[in-house]
Amino acid sequence: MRYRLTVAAFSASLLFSAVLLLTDAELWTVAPSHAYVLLGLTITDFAMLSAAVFGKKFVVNYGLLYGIGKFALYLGDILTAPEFGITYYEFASYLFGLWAYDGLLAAQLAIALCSYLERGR
Amino acid sequence: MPACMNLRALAAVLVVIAAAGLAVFTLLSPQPRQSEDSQNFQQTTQTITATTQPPTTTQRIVALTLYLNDYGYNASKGGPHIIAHVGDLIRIRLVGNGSGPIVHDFVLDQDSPSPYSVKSERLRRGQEQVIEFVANFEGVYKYYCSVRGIAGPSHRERGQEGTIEILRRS
Repeated sequence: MRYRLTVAAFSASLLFSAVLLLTDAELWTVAPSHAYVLLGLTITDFAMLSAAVFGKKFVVNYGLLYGIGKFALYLGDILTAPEFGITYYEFASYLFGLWAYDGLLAAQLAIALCSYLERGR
Repeated sequence: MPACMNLRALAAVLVVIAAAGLAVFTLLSPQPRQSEDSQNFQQTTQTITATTQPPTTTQRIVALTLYLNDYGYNASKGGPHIIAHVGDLIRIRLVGNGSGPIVHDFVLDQDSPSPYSVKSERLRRGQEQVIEFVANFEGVYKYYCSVRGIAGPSHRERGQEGTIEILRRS
């Protein structure tokens, strides 16, 4: 396989996304719009993962931007706290208390880093 | 070496992003707020002798307040044993007391299982609702929180359920 690290990073992202979508009761109950966005990004991850498995160059070319962009998006979810009538601190505490969310953030950085490292292949 | 420099630049970008995130989080975080209510209701079990108002013409009113905590009623697990008699009007004031965006509700329905069909709104912390229903059916039933994900443990499976006992009027 040409882009092993990138494939691994996308697989991790996919796994953490799936765990959040399946097990976070509040995600679908309180914030269905967030759930649909995550679902859309998960489908995109799956498409990128498939492309990486088949050695498509664009995955590693845009992986850095893609990973950092999604990292910012997931971290920026904290800024939607007022939507739920709670403080940013409370929402951040809740999110960081979910191991799948922490893993998802780490996976985005891994996507960025691995794509960059495998860009020359 | 350009590759090495690029790698350093990438590492620097990631460090800056992480530092910025940490700074934003620190700036946005006020003093951690501890809910007095959740402090007051940390015991795992509690028995309520429901306040029964003096009998009116025909119907008695059983009134109580339930705090919807994570993941219990008036407790961090389980809920009070509610006792009433057939024909009583049960009036429950529900007070949302979940942490963060977590919501809870009060349900007494066929999944309890019970012949009742009582379901409150899902309340987040600070929200309140008063529900009333007439205790028409004698028996011992479970009330519970119906919030659940697609998979994984539901709030009920985490312990958020209690017992309501409807006695025959002597």
